[in-house]
Amino acid sequence: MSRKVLGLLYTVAFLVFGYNLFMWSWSNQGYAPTQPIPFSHKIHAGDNHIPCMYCHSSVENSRHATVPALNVCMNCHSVVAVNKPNIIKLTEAYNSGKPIEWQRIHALPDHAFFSHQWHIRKGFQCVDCHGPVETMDKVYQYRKLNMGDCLQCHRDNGGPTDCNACHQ
Amino acid sequence: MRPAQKIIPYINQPEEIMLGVPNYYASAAGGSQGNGVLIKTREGRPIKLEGNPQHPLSKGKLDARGQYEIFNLYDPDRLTGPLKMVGGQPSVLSWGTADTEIAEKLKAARGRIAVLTGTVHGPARNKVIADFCQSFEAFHYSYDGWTHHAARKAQEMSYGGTSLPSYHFDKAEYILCLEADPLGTGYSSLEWMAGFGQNRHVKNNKMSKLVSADCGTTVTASNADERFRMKPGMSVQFGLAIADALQGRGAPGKHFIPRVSPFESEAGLKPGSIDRIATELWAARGKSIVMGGDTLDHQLVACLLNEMLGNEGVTVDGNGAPSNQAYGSVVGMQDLMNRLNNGQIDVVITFGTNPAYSLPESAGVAAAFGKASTVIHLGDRADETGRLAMYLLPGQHWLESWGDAEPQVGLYSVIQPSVMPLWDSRAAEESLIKFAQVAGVSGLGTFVGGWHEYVMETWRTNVYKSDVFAADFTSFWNSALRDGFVDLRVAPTPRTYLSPDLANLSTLRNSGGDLQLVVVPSPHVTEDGNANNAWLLELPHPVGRVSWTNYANLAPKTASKLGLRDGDYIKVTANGATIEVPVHVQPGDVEDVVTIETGWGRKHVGRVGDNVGGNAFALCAIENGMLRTMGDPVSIEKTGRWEELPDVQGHNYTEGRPIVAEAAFEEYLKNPEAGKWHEHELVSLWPEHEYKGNKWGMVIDQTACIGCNACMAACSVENNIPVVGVGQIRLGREMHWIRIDRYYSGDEHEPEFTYQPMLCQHCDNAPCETVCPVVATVHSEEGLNMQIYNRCVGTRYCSNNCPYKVRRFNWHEYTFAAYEPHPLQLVLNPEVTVREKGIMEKCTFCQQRIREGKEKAKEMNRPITDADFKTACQQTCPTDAISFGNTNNPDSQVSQMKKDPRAYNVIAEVNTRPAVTYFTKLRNRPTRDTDPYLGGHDAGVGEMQPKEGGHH
Repeated sequence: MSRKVLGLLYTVAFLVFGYNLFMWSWSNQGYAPTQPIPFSHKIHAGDNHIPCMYCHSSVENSRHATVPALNVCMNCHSVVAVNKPNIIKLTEAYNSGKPIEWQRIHALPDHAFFSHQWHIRKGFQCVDCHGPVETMDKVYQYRKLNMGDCLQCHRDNGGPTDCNACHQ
Repeated sequence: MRPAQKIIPYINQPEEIMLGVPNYYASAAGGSQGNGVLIKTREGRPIKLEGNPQHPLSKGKLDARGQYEIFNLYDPDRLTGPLKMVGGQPSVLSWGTADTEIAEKLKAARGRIAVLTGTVHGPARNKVIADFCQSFEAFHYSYDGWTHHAARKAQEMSYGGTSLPSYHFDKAEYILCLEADPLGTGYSSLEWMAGFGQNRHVKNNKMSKLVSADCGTTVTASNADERFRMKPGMSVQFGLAIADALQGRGAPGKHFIPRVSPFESEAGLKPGSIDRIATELWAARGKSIVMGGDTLDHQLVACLLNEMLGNEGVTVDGNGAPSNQAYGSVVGMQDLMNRLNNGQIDVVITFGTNPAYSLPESAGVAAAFGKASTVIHLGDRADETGRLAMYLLPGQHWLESWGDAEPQVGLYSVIQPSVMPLWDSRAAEESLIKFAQVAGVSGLGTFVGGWHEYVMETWRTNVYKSDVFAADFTSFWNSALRDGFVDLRVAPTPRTYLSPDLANLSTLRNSGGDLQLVVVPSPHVTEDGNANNAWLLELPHPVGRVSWTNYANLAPKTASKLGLRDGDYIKVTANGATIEVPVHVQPGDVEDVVTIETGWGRKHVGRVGDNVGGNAFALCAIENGMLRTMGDPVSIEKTGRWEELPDVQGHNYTEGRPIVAEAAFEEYLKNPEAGKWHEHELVSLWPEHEYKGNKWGMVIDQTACIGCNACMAACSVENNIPVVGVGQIRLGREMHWIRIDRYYSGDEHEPEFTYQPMLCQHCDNAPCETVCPVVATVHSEEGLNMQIYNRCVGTRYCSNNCPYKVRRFNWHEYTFAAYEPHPLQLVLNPEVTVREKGIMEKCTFCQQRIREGKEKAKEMNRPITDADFKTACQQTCPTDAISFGNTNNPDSQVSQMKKDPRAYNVIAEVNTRPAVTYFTKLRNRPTRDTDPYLGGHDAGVGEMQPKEGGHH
């Protein structure tokens, strides 16, 4: 086998190894996009002690925790802080019927089926995965949330580790 | 970083919608059968239809057509807004302009207006048309491609009145079909399949019997326990001969029955056959059904036999809750065309019917419509009839609009919208009301409100009765919406038989030609938008197992006589019309008969369905107000073109391999293991799997399976299965996770049929698992053979190693197909991954449903039971042939069934230990000397056992 071919093989092997190493550790940890309205979880959940589930109300009953509909915001903001520029923006959006397009922070791939419902019902806390949200002015992704991260937690807590526990 | 994604929440979230949790709405299918359905919606869009378990017709089941109906909603080729044809070119106009213009025309044409629809039932849908006609002095005509006018006429001659009877297959122990196809194409086929299925599960050593006298292998004929093949129309004489024999046994009444003996020798039947069938029928009197085919003669004979057997008023219901499911008639259509041709009609409004396609060209539909000054089409697409119109005002799919249904007299359903209209459309009934309101006519024009209010008002006055329902109307209405139906049917009483004169039955049509034509409806494709439904076109024909085209069925002897083979394109000429279709050699068909199905060969239905197959309606003639579909002389001309048939069956015989166990019922009674093979002790090199919790398993009763394809359809919708197209089907690359294998056995010219649903067997010793180099297919703790898409690299080793050939590979990127063109992607089930190119996939036993069931059980703090969920195929199976559950629970239904002496595994000898068990196919007929499965030791098939030395 010529030196050239061997060299090529080594390069390919190195690239594959490197790619796998990258994928192994790859995650969106720390991702903190800028939102159209700089909603502060620190003010709401931290300073004012609003429970998570007041806004993320379907977290116990659905796969999705969901970002609340604007009418939930307006429950308070029709009387609270109505003159602040961002609340004016919010009110305008609500009145015009044009929804606000939030940037998604936590996203799992389409082939992973995570259910908030059963993690919450098993007694896990929001902060276990999302971190100290009540201190975040700008929310960022706290954990790796890649497959290794999920599996490690499942192993530690006796969760199912069959492939189809998440992939269906 | 990764691509940015957005989250767009509601402004005001509707109270009943929780993202990620499906909502179900009860409704009724808008087609003529009017089956009760549950609409599964996610985030405000329907993603699946299921039968309504409480509904008396659908009983929780749906047929293939019903399952795939959801794709018709999302059909990209529907009209997207109102159009007006100006100088042959479509131009956009607003609804307001359309209403004003049409109202003017209607006012001017008062008394010269016709409304042409298909079969319409439902109190409000009927009343709005009646009101419209009254307000404008208009005429209403109903016309369907298959009109069942012969049945209606025969009822009128035999009993008076024109009701079509309802049939109670669930009460029938014996069914005789004279050229009839109740299980494939009957006017209430789903109800009949479900009823029929109830008596196909052997209970207390009893099962029903289906006998068919026919000239072609319809779904019913292929499922017959005993089949008598005869020339077209000869089954009329068969029926008369039975009647003759019954009279000898003391059947009540004196009927003139034309002597047709010696029928047996003429028809080539075994001597004594008629006598035996008559004896069996007589023993099952009052518990049997005789059904006739689509000619008046067949129907008259069927009426006579039902009368003689005392089925009238028991299994045949002609006056309690008769059927409303087929009102169309060619007579009405002819009357309309006469009026048009005489200049008596100026305005025609059409919806729900397509005469320009489903009548032969000689009928002159286009010319007659041309005589009207204005044609208004309220259908959902610019189909053949729509193209004759000046105004195309898109109607809505029944999933988008209000409506109601009354498939049997007294059985009412509200059709409720489950999605915002996808396009700028308006329900046809809404349009009728609007026309009247804008025109300001008395009657309908004074109605305040729209179609929704009209439905409610009609129900308030016509269905709701304060003395019957304790609740007030609002509660009644809400409960009708919740339940999906209101059942006010009454029990039938025997009608008085009018003894019609049967002396002049034309009996055998001797066409004089060498070849005779038989045209039959397709069990899948109809003359509406269904023909543009790619999923439905790809679904193989139940009997022929050919997809993407119709074809001319020829018996093997006829084909070889004419020098034709599968895939030869021929020109078929009858009654002055010619169509081009491929040949399909169908063992079991009668010699010198050419059978072609309708529904195909569309000119204008959409991008998928245009010019696929040939239009067999074109070959028919009209006679006595009916389409003559049987016995016309036909000629065949070879074109020289050959294309491989898109046939998914591959091989028609099991060649002695232990795939299908079959036995005569009589033999089963003597030996419950009849038909099975001698099984060897098998050893495995692999350690046994240990299942601590649940272990999922399935049992399929091949005796109950009628091969209707409903499971395939349900699976495709549930699991986001793509359509691959005709070219890929030819390459054997279809994607169906469950398929139906159809095998012949016995004589090549008169074979018996077995339908075997084949899906991933979830083997304990799975051959696929051991060869995957990346461990992408592994065993779960509950016995599922899992396929992990994100790990798969597409070596296809697993597929090569699978003895059941149930693994499907994505040769192309079908996810693009799913997103494009809009709005097809809306139908995707969000609970199932959409697979990419280069990935293997297969049946998962609906693991998303298992998970749903588990979550339901967890919510109640108890372990999961079999009642918590059903797989998609099991749920929809009209005959309950599929059972699924936990085999680790000794009391579960599947555990019990797996102990049944009929239970066996397909090719068990390779020791895959499948989780899917099959029941021997039983046929309720006497043992024949030629039965291959008799005489061997161990009740096995001698020749099928391993020869000396064995092979394993």
